[in-house]
Amino acid sequence: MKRNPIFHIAMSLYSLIYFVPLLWMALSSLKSNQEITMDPLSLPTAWDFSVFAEAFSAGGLGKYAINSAIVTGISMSGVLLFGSMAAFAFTRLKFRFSKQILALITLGLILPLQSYFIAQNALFDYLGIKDTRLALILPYTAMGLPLAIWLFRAYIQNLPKEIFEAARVDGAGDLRVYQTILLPMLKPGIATVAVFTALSAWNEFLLALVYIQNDDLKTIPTGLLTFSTRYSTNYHLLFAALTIVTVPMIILYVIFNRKVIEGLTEGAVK
Amino acid sequence: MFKGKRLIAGMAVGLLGLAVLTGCSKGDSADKVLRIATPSLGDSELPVWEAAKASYEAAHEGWTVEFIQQDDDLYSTVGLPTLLNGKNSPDAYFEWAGARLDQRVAEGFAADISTDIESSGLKDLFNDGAFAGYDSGGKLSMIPRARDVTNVLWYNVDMFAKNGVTPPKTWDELNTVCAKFKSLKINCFVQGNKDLWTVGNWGGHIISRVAGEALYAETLQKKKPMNGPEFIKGLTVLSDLAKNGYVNESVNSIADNEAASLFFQGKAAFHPIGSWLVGTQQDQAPDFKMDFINLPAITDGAGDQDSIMAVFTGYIVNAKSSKKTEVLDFFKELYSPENAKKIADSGTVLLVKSLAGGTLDPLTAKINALLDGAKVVVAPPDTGFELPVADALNAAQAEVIGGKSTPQAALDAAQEKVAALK
Amino acid sequence: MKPTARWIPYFLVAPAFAIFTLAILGPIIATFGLSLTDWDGFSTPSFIGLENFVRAFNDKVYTSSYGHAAIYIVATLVLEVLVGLILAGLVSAKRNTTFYRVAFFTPVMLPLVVISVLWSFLLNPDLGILNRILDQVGLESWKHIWLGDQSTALLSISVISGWIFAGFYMAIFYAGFQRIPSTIIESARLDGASELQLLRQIKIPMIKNLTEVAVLLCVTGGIQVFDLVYVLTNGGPYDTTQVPTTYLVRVVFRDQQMGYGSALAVILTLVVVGFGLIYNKLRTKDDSVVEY
Repeated sequence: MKRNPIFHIAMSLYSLIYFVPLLWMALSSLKSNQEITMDPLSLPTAWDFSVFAEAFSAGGLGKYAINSAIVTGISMSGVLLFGSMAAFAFTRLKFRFSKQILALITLGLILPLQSYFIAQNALFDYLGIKDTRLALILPYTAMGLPLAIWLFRAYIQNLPKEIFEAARVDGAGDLRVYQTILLPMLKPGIATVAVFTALSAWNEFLLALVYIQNDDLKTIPTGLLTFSTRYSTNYHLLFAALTIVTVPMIILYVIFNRKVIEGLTEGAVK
Repeated sequence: MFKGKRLIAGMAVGLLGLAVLTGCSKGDSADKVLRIATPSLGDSELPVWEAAKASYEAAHEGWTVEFIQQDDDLYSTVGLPTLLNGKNSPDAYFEWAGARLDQRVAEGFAADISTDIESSGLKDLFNDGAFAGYDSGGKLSMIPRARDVTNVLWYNVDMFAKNGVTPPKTWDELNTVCAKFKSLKINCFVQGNKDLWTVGNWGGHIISRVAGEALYAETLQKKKPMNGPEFIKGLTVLSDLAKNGYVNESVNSIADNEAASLFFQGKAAFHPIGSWLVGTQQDQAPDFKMDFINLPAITDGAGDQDSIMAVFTGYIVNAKSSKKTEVLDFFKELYSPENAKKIADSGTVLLVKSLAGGTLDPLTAKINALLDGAKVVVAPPDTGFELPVADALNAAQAEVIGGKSTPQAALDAAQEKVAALK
Repeated sequence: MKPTARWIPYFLVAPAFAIFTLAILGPIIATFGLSLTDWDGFSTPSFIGLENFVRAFNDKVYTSSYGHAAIYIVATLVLEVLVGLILAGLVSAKRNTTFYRVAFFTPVMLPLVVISVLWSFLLNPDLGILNRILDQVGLESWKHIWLGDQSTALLSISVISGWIFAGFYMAIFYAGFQRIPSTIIESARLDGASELQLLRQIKIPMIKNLTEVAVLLCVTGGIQVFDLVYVLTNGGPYDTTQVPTTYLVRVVFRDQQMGYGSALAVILTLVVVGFGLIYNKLRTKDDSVVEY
């Protein structure tokens, strides 16, 4: 395992494929439209960061971010709470139809979104919840549940049975066991599920596109698309918006990279 | 155990409650909110609407006006039907006269305003004859907005002057002009056809000139096949432009606003698009000098060679709304002489009396003159006819201008698509 | 265990099941029903039997959309899974590679829409940097209207997809490599195996299960690709990048043909689920490999 400079040089060069586009995006936001169209490869001539404030206020990016945060936060909480509850019942408690119900929910792991969104759209129309945040929260929660239940089940199965039995002997009811014993032990699983559901909800596009027309309720992906159509020729403003959306996520990701990578890969592979 | 249950129940109720709270918007049809749906108003027109809203709200205690704005392409397809069928459906909404208006009437989303427009006093604001074309089945069903010419050839005035070129009057002259620009390594036309309707309008206009307006309309109404000889001949005119290298290569990969932007940057001599380019130019390139000509006369064309392609736009009062009076009152504010002037400055000429004697922006005035003088008005494929049929024709035109198919092959494919429709 | 009270398991499962039924299960059943009707979304649906399915199989745009998806899948198997495997082999062969792993994974967590908008600029024929770079290094003839030319559009989308997801598969494989008992690796090293031999003869065979999962993910994900195509080309030019999902969205939400769209959705469902089931049947469980 000797140090090998060629390896690191080659890998660093390859990393450029990832950095250059993102860097170009960030730098272009500091250039004028004229500079971008005439010489897209040049560096900005002036480092004027006011464009970010302009993009933020003109495009309502704050609004979109808040919407994304609300929708993601509620969906994720719902998935964690309801998913862990159901997984506990499926794994540790005997009851009628448990196999059948679990099998139905497991179906959700393989079904593509397109299998059901037409009728879901009609149903939401009928219920009058389109153009409300509920129209995103409901499906995002439902879409996150199968995986959450599946992952939580695997975690619970790995916990020693004796812990639960001992609690029983001490006279604790099942709900108490769930709350005081299971939840704390489930922490690593919760982190994985949380990352996976949160990122899926944060980035979801198709349902957000179909269900939300009201600009005040749009989430980041659709809001940004609206922004990019509206300012499609105001390049530096558009790049500034893209940068604003990207940078916080990259910072969060760099801080929590292990959890994020684990959460996303485990979520997908299970 | 009791504690546990309460906690979980509490969390669940809290979650659902939060979801409902954050999600649901208020209100039923009897609230005091006036909802008006429209494609994006743009930076120059929006302030006028805001002003009208402010004065309406000041005059009508307790009422608020809400604008539901959507991206144009979305609005004209799935956006509007979704709004109409949703909760809080708009009380009034932008629409195109013609086939689309008739459809809204049939679906029960368009109120007959023949008498109300008079009693409300809104009618007095309009020109004589402003209401022609805004009725459905003999009943006035729209508050007129404007007549938009959807296809003229805009040209770069400075570029023409610099190269000593004069605007062509016939198709042969157009070809000569394009050949000259080509020799100067300048794109003759720039067009952004990513969404297919821009070449759809431009080529549709050409086809109507060659095949004749009647045949054009009958074909799009599915009474005649798409791949008849006249249509092929019409599409060949477009195909020749592309073959000669007069159209930007990126035509099918860029959007309409990108093409406009390239035109303003001096990357092409002509940009074939509608009268709304005036507003775009004032927003984006106020120093840019442009002018337009109508589509030049095509030799041996069966249609009227001075025909214009235009759409009539307006606002429908939703038949399901109980706020007809309020809607009409709001439009009285919006169409006030002062506001009408400002909207005209942004490139849209409302059909109101107050503008008759006023001074319009010269380009807008010239567009108006074109509209007033036209004997034959041709409807664009996508707003004048059924959408799937228009899509088939537009796709064929895109293939031809992109050099992918011959006019014959493209129209054969279009006919196949149309035949598959019910 | 028997629950301490009979209602408890039902109480625990009820919210999850209710939400799942309302948002997914019910709509799926309804979609199957709607696929047998002619419906515009608003009026009363009329039953037309299997007519929609007959129409789908005769719809050239729809049938060809599966061809495009197939090309995309093959391309991404190489550009995502294979490249991911190579990257994982590289980063697991040395120490101090956290930086690369973090870097290569970055695009996975950004919204696809953001990435698509960014790439549509990078590839823009008039102001994109790719064409400018080609210009400046003297490869003018390589310049293309990448997303507007039917010979390059689908391939461009696949390459962008590879740019995004290669890091994802790398992370999966890397995690697998980390779980291989170090004694096996060390003893192979002592026997004089090179890093390449190690990778081909020990590491890759030992994560066979993971590669199978990765292929399954890539294929079923590939059939469902939407965001990228919708923003980059929306099926154009001339429907040559039309994939089942973008066409489905067009039929349903532009042309308002809900019944026909439902039939297309049913076909897509059957393809995805069918592939998943068959693939799982074919996979042989092998105990000598590392489980994830």
